Amino acid sequence: MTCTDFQNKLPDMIDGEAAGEHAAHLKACAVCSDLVADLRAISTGAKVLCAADEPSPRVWANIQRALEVEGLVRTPRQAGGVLIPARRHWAPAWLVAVAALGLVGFGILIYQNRSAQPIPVAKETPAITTVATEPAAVADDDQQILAQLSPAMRTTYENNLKDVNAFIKDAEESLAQNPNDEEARHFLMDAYQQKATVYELAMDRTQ
Amino acid sequence: MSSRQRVGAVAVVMIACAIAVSASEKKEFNYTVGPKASITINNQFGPVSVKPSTANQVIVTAILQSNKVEVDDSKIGDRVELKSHLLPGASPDNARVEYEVLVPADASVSMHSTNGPLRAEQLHGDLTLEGDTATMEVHDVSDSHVHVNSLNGPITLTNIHNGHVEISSVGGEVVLNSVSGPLVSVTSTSGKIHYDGDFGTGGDYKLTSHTGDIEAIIPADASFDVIAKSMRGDVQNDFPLQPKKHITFVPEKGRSFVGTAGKAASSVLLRTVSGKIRLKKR
Repeated sequence: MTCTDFQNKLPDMIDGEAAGEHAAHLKACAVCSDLVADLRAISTGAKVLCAADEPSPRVWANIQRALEVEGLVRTPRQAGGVLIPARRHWAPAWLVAVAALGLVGFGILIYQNRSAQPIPVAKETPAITTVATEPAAVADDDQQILAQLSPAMRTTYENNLKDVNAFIKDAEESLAQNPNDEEARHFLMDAYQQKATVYELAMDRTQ
Repeated sequence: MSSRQRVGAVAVVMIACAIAVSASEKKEFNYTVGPKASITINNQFGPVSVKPSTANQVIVTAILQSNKVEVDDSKIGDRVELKSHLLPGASPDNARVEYEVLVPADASVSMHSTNGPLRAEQLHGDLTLEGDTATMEVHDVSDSHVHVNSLNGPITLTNIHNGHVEISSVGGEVVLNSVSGPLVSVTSTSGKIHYDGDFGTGGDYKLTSHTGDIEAIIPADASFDVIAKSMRGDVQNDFPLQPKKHITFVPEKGRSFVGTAGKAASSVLLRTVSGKIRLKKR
């Protein structure tokens, strides 16, 4: 049995015991046994957290509304909403638990900040704020660069900047939704690198 | 059309050609340089082609389209710079310059053109190509750093060995044929990325796009570790991969796959936000 085979069955083992070849793999593989131990600890912690600190439904509704206003999440298309997602049959339960924990922490942070004083979420969470605050600054920078180009080149650069800005926005939204996702972080870095390339080329053209 | 009219039309065409030929001007520059010289060609409009010379000579042939452009050249030590200098009244048509440049094979070459095309071949010094819509072609290059920055021009690299390759293209298609080396990195926003090769030995291959599709065609005996992820697009793997012993994430069917081929000599990362990824056996 490979780690992949084992981890496909992982959700069924978080709250129960492994049996047969799964148990044998769990015993033999340090990586999978560590993973199971961590997930069980998270699962237990999540239950304690829910029992102790579960905010009222009104709090959740306020958080969701705030996130929508900030543009950090989209309006849910199905019952259950973003904060209480309907479970998909393919989603591993442990992933949902981890995501829920992350979201709970994030939501409580935002809620506490908002109830303490009406400052934008952006000031407390710089990695995410760019989605809400950057477009105006980005548009200014873009316009400055474009203004220096000849009319013949301007359209080409304008179109390319639109594409790259869409890449950045996509990457920022992904990172805002999954702040710990390394891939999303790499995408954002790559997207900014692309924008740097466009700026560099544009500045070469203006010399 | 009567025979008189035909003769008239031919005459007009011949006169136009004669005017065009007489308006263009050919210039040649020669420099003697030491080992690992640095050559920079900045051509606003028109092609640049770079090939190896037989000795430690830099030989430049420039064909200027009109008197609205001139070539500024300089040589300081082993650094040679050529620049198309646009004069009042210059336009993309009349300011075009065609450069044919022969350089020592170990020279570092940097070339820029808005509309190109840009070509470099049979060199083993570092190469930098930059352009907006320029077609870019690099082939038969080894032991080089190859850096390519482009907006929308198609980019083709062929037979690059032991290369340190970094390509950034916003919308142009990127095609890599038999490209291998310690680092091969391609980032594209909307352009497609196509890789046809064996991923070499001991290399790090990263192909990233926003909306562009990524396709890799690999021989059956290739040796690599692969992680392929599309956040919103489909992934398809036709290559027989072995599951990895240890993985850091659980692949999502249709969106990502992970595996090993052969002895996992190289590391391959294919990732896109909403493009498709396809890994195929040749």
